[in-house]
Amino acid sequence: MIGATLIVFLASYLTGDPAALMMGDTATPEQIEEFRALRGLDRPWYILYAEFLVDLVQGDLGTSIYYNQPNASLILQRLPATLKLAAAALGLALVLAIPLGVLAALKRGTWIDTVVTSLAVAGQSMPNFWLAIMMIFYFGVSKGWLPVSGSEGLECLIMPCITLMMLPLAQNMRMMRSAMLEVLGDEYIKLARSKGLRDMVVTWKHTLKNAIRPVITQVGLQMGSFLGGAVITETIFSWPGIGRLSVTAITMHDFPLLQAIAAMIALIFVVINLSVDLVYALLDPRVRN
Amino acid sequence: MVKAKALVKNLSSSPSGCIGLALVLLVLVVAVFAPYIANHSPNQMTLQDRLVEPGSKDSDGEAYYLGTDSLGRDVFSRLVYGTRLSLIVGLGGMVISLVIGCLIGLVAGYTGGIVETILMRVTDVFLAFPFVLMALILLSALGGGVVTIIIVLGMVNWTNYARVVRAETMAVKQREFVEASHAIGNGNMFIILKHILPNVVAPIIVVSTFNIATNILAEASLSFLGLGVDPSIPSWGTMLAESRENLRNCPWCATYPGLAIMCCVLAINLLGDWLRDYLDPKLK
Repeated sequence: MIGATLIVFLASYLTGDPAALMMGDTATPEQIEEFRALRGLDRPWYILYAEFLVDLVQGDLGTSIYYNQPNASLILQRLPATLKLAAAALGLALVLAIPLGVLAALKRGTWIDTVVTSLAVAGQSMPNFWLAIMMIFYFGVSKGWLPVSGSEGLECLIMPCITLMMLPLAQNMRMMRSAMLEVLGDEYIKLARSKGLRDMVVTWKHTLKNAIRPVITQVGLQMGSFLGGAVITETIFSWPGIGRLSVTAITMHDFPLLQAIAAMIALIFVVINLSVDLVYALLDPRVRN
Repeated sequence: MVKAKALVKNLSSSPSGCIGLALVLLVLVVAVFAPYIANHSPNQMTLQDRLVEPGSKDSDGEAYYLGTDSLGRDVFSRLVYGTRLSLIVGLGGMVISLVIGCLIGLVAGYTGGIVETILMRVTDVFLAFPFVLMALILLSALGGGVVTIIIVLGMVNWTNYARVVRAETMAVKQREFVEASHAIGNGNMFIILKHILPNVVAPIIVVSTFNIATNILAEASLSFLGLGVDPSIPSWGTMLAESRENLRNCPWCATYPGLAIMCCVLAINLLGDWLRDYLDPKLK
């Protein structure tokens, strides 16, 4: 958490005078000086950073310069929309990626494996903003089936969700396939088969349970990344989430808001890492012990 | 010679590797010979030819193979010149990431202890922070431009190098030839450069390939958001961003730049997949 906030803090100082950046090109030197004194920016950066950390521990994320509102309330207003989008995209990606990855591993070397692997490589190579534009053109503008922006209702979720899920779908499919192939070669799987267990039991009970751990780690990282800012997807579809708030903070040089977002991202990362460890323990008794 | 033969033999047995290499070579040829391939200047605006459909011709009889955009610029010529920018950013960012990541990975893996802990925690922080968001923060403060974007991408995209190089270094430093080098009194710097670095080159090559593809996608994303290169420089991301205004009238303005990005990244990913399988099956 300290690292993430420090990076943003240093970025705002190492790349120029934060007061001048925040006031913009039209401000006079006097206005910049006045702003600097008002916000206490005339003190050394490490004092300001220490103050920021103390406030953070007390739950005070500061006030946004652009919105002139508490950063915490700005983030909390937008967090549900981001959570909804991230959960839908990752949920759908997992629902598709796990069976497809398992199928590709079980049918290794066949046309099914080739199709799944090719789809995964194509999905990883496709720029998601291009996919978004193509969907907006076809389903939104041309056919008029889906709304091109907004966040109310299920139909507003479809295109942003597909846009956001393409990369994790491809990554998780590949990860699932290679993890399954690795576990399928293990001795205990051979033993399970030699005992006469049905293929379904061997695959879903013994193999998948052990192969899914790297996928869970990857999903944890993806979730953290989505909650921290599905920047492009949220911008294209005018989705009122953290990603769009970040872009506004960046373009308006609202460094206090950016620092608050960085702190939130770090917190989310810690919570997700903890959750991943708990899921590990649920799946693997060795971890519990 | 034997290694080269084995490499060619392995490549010829991998259809996806062959496709990847062929496409990468095609992209390189297009980038190098862009002035000879493009039949219009990429920034030449012909206002009477605005939003002309693919296959039409200008007043001199020159074809607009992929149509024109809302300012009457030839989409094909801008795509061809855009290849240069993508490759420059992809390769430039990769070199910076490689230097930072390898340095951190080598030092962390070789020294161990508290130095390793600190360096790897720093790596974790960079890994946890969304990559595009970090690049946007730096770009908004430093301003756009090709050099800036290369530096920014290099600075935020080095974590994979650090992790892979650290793991490999930890394995290599246990080997007998490293211990022997220690025993005859060689210094740490000599051992790192002479014995460890050559043994971690294979995974570095693999990571570099994927890193180039990531940088190309990132440049396009940042240009799409308006924080990339100067709009006068043909960029696939900028072309896509500009196409949003006229989606209904010229869908080709959005279709072809996206396809170009996808083909370029796909080619590098396919080549990277093959290289990984060939050089370092452990990373598969």
